[in-house]
Amino acid sequence: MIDFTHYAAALDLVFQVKVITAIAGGTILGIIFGALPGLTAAMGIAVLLPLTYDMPPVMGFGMLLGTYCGAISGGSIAATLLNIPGTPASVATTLDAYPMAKKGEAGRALGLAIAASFIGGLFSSVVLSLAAPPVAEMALRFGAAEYFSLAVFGLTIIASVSGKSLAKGVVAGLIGVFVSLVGLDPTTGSPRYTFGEMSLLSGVAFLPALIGLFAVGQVLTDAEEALQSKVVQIQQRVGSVGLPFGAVFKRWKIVLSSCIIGTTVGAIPGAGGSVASFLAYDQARRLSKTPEKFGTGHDEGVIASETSNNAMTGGAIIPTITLGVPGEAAAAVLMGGLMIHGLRPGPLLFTEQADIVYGILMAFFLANIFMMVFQFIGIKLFVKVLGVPRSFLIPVILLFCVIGSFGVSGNLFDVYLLLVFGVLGFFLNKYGYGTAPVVLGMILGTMAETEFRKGLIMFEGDGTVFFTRPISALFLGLALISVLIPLYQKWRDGRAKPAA
Amino acid sequence: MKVKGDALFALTLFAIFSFGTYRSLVMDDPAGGPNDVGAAFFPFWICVFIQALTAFVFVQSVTNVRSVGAPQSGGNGVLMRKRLVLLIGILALLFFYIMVMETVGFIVSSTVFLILVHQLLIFSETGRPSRPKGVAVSAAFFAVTAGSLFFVFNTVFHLALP
Repeated sequence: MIDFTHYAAALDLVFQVKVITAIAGGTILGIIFGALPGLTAAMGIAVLLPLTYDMPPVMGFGMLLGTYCGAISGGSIAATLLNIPGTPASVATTLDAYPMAKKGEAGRALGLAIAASFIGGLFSSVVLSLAAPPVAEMALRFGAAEYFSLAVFGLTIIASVSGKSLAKGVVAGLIGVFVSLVGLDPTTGSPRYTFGEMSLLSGVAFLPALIGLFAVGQVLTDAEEALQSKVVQIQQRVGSVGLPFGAVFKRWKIVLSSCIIGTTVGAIPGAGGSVASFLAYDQARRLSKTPEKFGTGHDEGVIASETSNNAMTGGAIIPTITLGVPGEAAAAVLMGGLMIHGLRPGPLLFTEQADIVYGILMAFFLANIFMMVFQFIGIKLFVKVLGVPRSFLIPVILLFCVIGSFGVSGNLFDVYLLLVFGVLGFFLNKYGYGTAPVVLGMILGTMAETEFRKGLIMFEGDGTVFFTRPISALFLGLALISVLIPLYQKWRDGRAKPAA
Repeated sequence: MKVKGDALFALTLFAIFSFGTYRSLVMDDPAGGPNDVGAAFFPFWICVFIQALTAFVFVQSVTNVRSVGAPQSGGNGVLMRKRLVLLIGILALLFFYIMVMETVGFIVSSTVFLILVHQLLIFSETGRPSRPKGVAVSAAFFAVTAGSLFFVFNTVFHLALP
């Protein structure tokens, strides 16, 4: 049940000048990160994590939420003006926003994107506030068997949707699980893969690994790609930018379907913004009276894509804070942000730290408002950011990564870890394994092992308990389906090819 | 070349996790209770699964090369060399930066690191180093950046940097 007394207490935590300034600052930085092609929302949050180390939880996490919302929305700027998605979540936006820009309607496309992003974000923040408390309450009834099965489900679905192939996605997820096993065994205290290194006894530090995989790995990829791409030249004039809410609300069916698709896809671990925006775009075409105009600079295409990718953000936070299972890559980094403030994501968070959690929900709501206001007011400045040379950007991002890793514990070993995971992230990206399954594997691996062993000890070695308890059996069934669907699709494609 | 690299990466992962499997077999493996599977159970099976899957990816990559045809060499060989130099250069600079950071101090080491990475990127893109005036301007910019970050993190965010 939603307890409104917690919202009253949370008001005091959120409505402070420094907290609001932090959320606003995070949102502006997020829009900048989102606007720059190649810099993802996950990377933006990872790079800005060190800024939050010394902040109170709601302030620090609010800033990161602002970065998240801003980055997803800011992706539409490069998508409109350069035909390059600023973040993967705005790939579908390029299909109509860029043709609009070519027709001299860049300002209108950007305005539509801002308004649609705001409505999507607002919808998902309402769903988040309504759905998170009951989900957490239900999860309180989970035992060891259910948590183990949930972890298995999370891992399989992430692996099946994240990598370019199922096998590679699973390998990446298992690498994450392996990394989570390093250190002292939580049950027996026996050292595993520590090679006598004291710093590894408590396991591989999560944040340096996270920053390495998402930020350093991505920076190396960007640096490599920068050699091939020419200097960014903005050909289109932005013109005047309005907020055409009327045009958006006129397509209320498309807006509603995009909101529902975005939030639902966000709540499914691993799916992410690009899946949400393409599904919503496809659905919008079906609902449209003028489907033939899609891809030629149609308002409805921009509205569908941008509504859904920002609706995805709230959806992704639901499993992250209620179950400890991140909905997508950026949510995994946000989870790291929660952990550095001593908050353990999961159902207990709602009972033990209720005021903070409700404060976070309110901060997310505020972040969406700031996202619209700042992107609208500062659009001309954000467009200028596209021209910042990579040769200035890349070194500064690397410096932030080093500060972030060193700042966790003041231990240089963590910075070497950053380097190792950066290299790993680069190769995983390069060969189509993806980095998101690794991070999610690191989170879910610990949960899977601990709960599996706890379950066996509690039920006297009876392994059937994982299949006989209804919720546990449901999760394992869903895990099996998530593996079988891609295999079936591949088999069907294989049969269709020779016939063609 | 990409397919070759794919196979090589799968093979590297296979080798690393073969070592992981071996380590799990020689690991000190006490049980945590009467029905506990022990500390080595998960590491062993995770490594075995990774070995099996990377072997599959390797075979798939090699088979693809044969069916598609050997990748063409030359053509973008210069670009490949440039990429390699850039990546190794950035990683080497990052490694040395971490090594000397505590001895030299954050501001000096960071400024030098930023300037060198910037110059490396410019050299890789244009094929020639910056003009002395450009180097001086970027050096000033990066010195101010490193100094400001030190001030912000040390003073405002209370993060103890070397």
